[in-house]
Amino acid sequence: MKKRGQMGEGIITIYRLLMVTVVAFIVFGVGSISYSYYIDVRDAEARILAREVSNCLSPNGILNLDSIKEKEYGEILSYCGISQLERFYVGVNIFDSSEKEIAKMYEGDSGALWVKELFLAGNAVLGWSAKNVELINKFNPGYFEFNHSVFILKDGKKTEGNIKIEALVSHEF
Amino acid sequence: MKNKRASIMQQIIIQIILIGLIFAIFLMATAERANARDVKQQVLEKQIALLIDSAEAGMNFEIRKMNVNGLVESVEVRDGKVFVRVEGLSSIKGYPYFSKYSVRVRDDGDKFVVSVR
Repeated sequence: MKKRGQMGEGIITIYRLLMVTVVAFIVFGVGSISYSYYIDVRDAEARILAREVSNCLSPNGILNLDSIKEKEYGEILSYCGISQLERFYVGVNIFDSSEKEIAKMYEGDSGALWVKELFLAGNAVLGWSAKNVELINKFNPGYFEFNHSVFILKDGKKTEGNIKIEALVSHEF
Repeated sequence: MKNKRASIMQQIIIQIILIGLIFAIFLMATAERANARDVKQQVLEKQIALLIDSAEAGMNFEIRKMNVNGLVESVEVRDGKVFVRVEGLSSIKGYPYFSKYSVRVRDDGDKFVVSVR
């Protein structure tokens, strides 16, 4: 009778071990699928993009507006030979010395601006738990704003002015 | 009475061992995830794409095959994307770069040389 009881206990122990192994494997499997690293380089890309556009428009600190056709104002990335347009938005504002805007150039997905503003205002994460914020943060585009003074060449006249470049990079998935 | 106590102690010890085993599995899984090949691949692809984007025409850079991120088996550039094969793991999606220059990769013995022209 005692032997039978010992056997029963042994079977229960094996059953428990099996159950624990199954649960451990399920947890491990689900964990390895859902827990994936995302290395975010979009801010770095936005910085490089802004620098590239700046170098393209004012290579020696001189922005020659006469060399850019007005129809190219809305295709500034293509003008600078930059591909991957669906991930980027670049906006360029050119001001004269009295801070008056004299030209505006842009190209790309302007929806990224709206998403960025949503994150800046905090509306995109209001009332969300930290885990959920982490989940949606991957949709927050990379951003870089770049201001510098330039000489502007327009209608053959050279004047002093400023250039503001805004670069946004969306996720790649 | 003594036998019953011994049996309870035995059960507790078994349960402690099982809990220890589960913790060990979790720790090993986390360590494995942190050093996983796909993470190494992602790091390499993004690093190479950023280097290409920031390079000027005429620049070259080298990627050692025995890299800190593991054994780099191949580096390919096609359709504006960088594909890196690390420790037998092929890249499916790659990572896009936006450089306006043409980019070439050549296998040079123990390293890959990326040229931006």
